[in-house]
Amino acid sequence: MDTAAPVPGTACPVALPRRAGIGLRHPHVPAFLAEDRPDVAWVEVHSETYLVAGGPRLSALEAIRRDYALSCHGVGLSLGGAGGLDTTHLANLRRLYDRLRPEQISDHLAWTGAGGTYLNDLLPLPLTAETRDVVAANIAHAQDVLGRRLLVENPSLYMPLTLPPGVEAIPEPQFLADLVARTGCGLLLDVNNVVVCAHNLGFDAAAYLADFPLEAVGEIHVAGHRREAFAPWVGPDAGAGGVVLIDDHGSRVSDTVWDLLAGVLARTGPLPVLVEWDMDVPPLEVLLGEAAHAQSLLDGVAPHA
Amino acid sequence: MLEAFQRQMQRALLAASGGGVDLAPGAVAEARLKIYRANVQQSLAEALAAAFPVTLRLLGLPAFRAAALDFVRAHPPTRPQLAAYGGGFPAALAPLDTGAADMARLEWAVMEAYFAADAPALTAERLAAFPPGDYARLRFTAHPAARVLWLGHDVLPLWRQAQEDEALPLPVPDAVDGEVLVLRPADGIVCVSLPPGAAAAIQSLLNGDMLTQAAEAGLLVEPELDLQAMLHMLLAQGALAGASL
Repeated sequence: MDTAAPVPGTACPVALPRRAGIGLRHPHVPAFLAEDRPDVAWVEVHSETYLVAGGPRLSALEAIRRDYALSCHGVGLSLGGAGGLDTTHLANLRRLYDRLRPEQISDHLAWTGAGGTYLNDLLPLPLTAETRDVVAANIAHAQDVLGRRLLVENPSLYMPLTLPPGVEAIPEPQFLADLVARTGCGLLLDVNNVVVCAHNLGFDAAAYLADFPLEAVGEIHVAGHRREAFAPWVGPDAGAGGVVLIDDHGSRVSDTVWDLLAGVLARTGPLPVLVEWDMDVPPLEVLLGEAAHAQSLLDGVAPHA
Repeated sequence: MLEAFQRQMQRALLAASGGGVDLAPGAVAEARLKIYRANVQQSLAEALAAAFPVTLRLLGLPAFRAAALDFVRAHPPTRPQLAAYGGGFPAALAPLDTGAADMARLEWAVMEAYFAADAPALTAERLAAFPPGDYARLRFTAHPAARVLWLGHDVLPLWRQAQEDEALPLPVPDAVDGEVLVLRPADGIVCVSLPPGAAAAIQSLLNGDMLTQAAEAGLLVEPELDLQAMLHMLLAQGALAGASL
């Protein structure tokens, strides 16, 4: 956990239990603090939610962390930021991670704002050689300051980007493999994001997963998404985009995602699998039921050597 | 290219409408850009709604939403810590509705107190260890959660009603000056309505002034101020974290 930044080229060790976990959300915190604790192998939180000086939110997580393996999932590093990382934010994260000592930390292949602004969304990157240099430098910087290996998550995307003539696009699985080779980071494979992107940008999810560098994956995410036939909440003319899958983490995991997860696990053997549910958070039993389904898929695959 | 793209897209995401992105030409990409714009602006407006729930009830959803979206576009967060986003929102509401702005100031103080650093409270026993003759020269360390508010409306009773009943319609707050001390003894928030003069004295104490200076500041406002009762209340509610000579 407190090891120095990883050596590029080394295989990604799996630090979390190779079992199903759930995202820990505020309505479920009392259940995790109760005597009869939920039966789940590990939990994940959004790091930035706990970047506070003190108070009951942080102390509750410290108490829960004593009983469960913990993953801290960042949404604000802005690894794709052209201007480099926010060093104050990095220092705040380092303090939080030193306090919580999570088994695993992660963030996204995305940017979240430019010039000292935070937009609270994971925004798309043009996957070019220039961007690869920027992201690799940012990952190396983050791992150096945080003193921990970072898992980088494949994003969910809504908008196709068109590169100028003469600029070559790097396929995302290759882009991620290059980041692993250059920085020694690991990958967080979000299967739901693959399904969302495949639909929204028009590619084949199975083909994407066939190319994905699975040997670097230290954690898997699954979640629900919703279909927007058109998006009246963004204006009457948004329908030009057609049917869009929105990665809202607000419902049960779809069968498509479960099927792809089973296919991935058949290739990798058991890995830590997280069920994320962030919007319209259901009763804990529903979430634990989803985790139990993920566990049944994990139980169905043999450990790989 | 990356930097120019990000600056251009950020401008488009924070605009009320319009704003193209060179790497996203065509009708489909333009429509999809609106998904990101809605995600950005609405999620930040929702963060404000979560931080200012009683202010939202006072203003009503349409007026709150409009004010929140205006604020988000003009003052997006500068750091990925949404618990710290919205400190400027009360001032932005003031030109629209001074009563709602005072409620927002109270709610922001509650937010700050809730996420403030932990510190053990100064006890009466530890205070008793100082020689009584030296009390006048004592200086105190404020508990990180403690803060004093000077408000132009009597919003605290409405805030309390709103905590107890989430459906109750809230009346317009009376335009009456009031001072409130916000604290976090143990794990819960406590708001104390202060008698005249106490706010000046407590603010002086929290600033680290000597007890005798704080007493002067309070007595200047209210000659009848009961300093002993005030000090008892501060100790009982954990407003102080330490004392020194």
